[in-house]
Amino acid sequence: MSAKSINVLGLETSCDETAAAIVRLTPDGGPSGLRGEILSNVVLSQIDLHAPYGGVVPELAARAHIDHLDRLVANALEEADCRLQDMDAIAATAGPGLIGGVLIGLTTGKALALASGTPFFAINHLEGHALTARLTHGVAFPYLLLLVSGGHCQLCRVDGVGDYTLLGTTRDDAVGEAFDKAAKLLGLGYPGGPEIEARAMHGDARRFVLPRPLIGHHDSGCDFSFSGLKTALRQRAVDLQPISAEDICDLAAGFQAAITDCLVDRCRRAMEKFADTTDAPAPASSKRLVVAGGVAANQHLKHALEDAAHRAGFTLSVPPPALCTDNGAMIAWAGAERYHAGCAGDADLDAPARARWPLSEKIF
Amino acid sequence: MMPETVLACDTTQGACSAALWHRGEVVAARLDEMQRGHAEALLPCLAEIKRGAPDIWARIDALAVTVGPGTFTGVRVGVSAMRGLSLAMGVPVAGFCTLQIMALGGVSPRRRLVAVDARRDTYYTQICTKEGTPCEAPTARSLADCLAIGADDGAQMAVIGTGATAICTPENTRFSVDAAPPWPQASVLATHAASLSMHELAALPATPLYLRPPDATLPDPQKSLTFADAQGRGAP
Ligand SMILES: Nc1ncnc2c1ncn2[C@@H]1O[C@H](COP(=O)(O)OP(=O)(O)OP(=O)(O)O)[C@@H](O)[C@H]1O
Repeated sequence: MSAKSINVLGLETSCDETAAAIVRLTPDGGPSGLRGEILSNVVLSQIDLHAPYGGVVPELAARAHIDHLDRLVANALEEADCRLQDMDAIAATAGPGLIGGVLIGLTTGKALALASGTPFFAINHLEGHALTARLTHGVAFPYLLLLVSGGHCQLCRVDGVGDYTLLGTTRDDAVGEAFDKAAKLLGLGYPGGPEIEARAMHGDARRFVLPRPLIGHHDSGCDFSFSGLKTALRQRAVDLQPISAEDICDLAAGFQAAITDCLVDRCRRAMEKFADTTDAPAPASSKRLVVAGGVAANQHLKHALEDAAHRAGFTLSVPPPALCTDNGAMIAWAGAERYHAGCAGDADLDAPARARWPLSEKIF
Repeated sequence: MMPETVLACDTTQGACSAALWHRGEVVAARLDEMQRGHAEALLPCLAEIKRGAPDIWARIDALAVTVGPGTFTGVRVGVSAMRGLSLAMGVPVAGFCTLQIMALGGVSPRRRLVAVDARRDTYYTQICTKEGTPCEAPTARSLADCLAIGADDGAQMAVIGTGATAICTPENTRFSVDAAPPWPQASVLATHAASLSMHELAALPATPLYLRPPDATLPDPQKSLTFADAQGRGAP
């Protein structure tokens, strides 16, 4: 461990954003012992490319990543006013995600590391999401993490870098995926989350009361399930045909309310569990619930979680939306944390790309 | 101006290969046959070349890579590695058609047909002279189209690539299998790139050549629900 700053370049190509960023980690006397600074954060979204298909097309994504990544890396260095030689480490997402895209960032990162003689870190994309709140809010370990994205829906206990305990995960769809499918059904654009949220704002959530899967099932731990909710939404929509603009808003509001209730209920359980399993009872002010992933941009959800956290004696931390969706800064930061913690990188440059890569094993 | 030191690699087909050319000769070359795993193999292979000849590595002034056609993933592994090295080293990277580099590896004195079996009755092909110079742009052909090549003048052709199995049957007497390996060799690529000027290399972008559109299907509008107002669909 050194007391000097660490600069890390991070690459992210696991889904439909091509991204490169440079972050600086400086050890300090704050709660987390570290200070994070984003020197540049370049993101090229492929949303327009995939929108006509109603979802991400893997081969189109991979073709777009390779066309742009090297230029984005050059932009990130330029914006940060850095040279590659100034980097202490290079980090790239190695999974989980769409393998064709992951390979591009991973291979590019390894090549940059080989040419510059810099240590290389193959990063779990979920670890990037999990540690972002330490970059943005200097959150100290341990904390509770709700990860809600296009590909995941998990509750984890985060005790340290590389020390993640899964408390619950989805049994079927990821929550962002549920939003996207609901939007597609209602004839709305992609990605669906922001579309549903915008319609829900003008809708009446009480008109269609949709099921809240797993709530009240005591043996379900902190797991999630959204497929029954999706089916119920479809049934209501089919019965309403032809569907009016008002129907869409009401359906969107009902759907968002059901999802929010599910997430809040599971977080409540997890907060109880967290308090029970934290040895030295931390002062109330330092118990944290962190939300990460693209769905964290949803304001309705954020307010509901804020309220639940407050009641449970927790503080809620949500990184800004641009750092909740996929970005290179979170990958660079995860690399910086690993480097700072003394983890060995991938010295052999043979780390594989992994389509699936759980952050931890399920424990209950 | 001619390059002095060229690093080349290929991962587009059934092998992973890399070679370092310096002042008139290939000074390091590796080739491992593989159907998958190129991504894990390539960087360690390049790292070994760097370790074996650090002084020559430091003098690399041009990079060369095959850009396909080949497996989509293989194409992107090689291209992203070399574009990454290019950015980090500040030297240009030139892209070469995989089929042309295979043709240059041919050994028969006949005209050459490079044909790579891309499944679903598609062959990535290129007709080349007996020296390996391309006579046409890379072209996707069916087996029947491959067999029709040169039918009018009864041309005898040496076939290079995995497509040779289907094309060079006892009935198709005009076609014979070339003894060249059925994949590109980085040593051939490095030597070929080194024969071009820096100016010529700069005109060859390292952009993937797929020859096949991506698998992507638009949603079926028939499956959509009916809306009262198609225009203002759900507009608040
Ligand atoms: N305001 C919102 N409300 C609800 N969902 C939202 C909102 N904004 C974005 N989303 C959802 O967030 C998802 C995208 O988030 P993100 O980029 O983190 O996920 P991903 O890259 O698809 O998945 P992962 O990070 O798990 O690989 C999409 O499913 C999108 O619909």
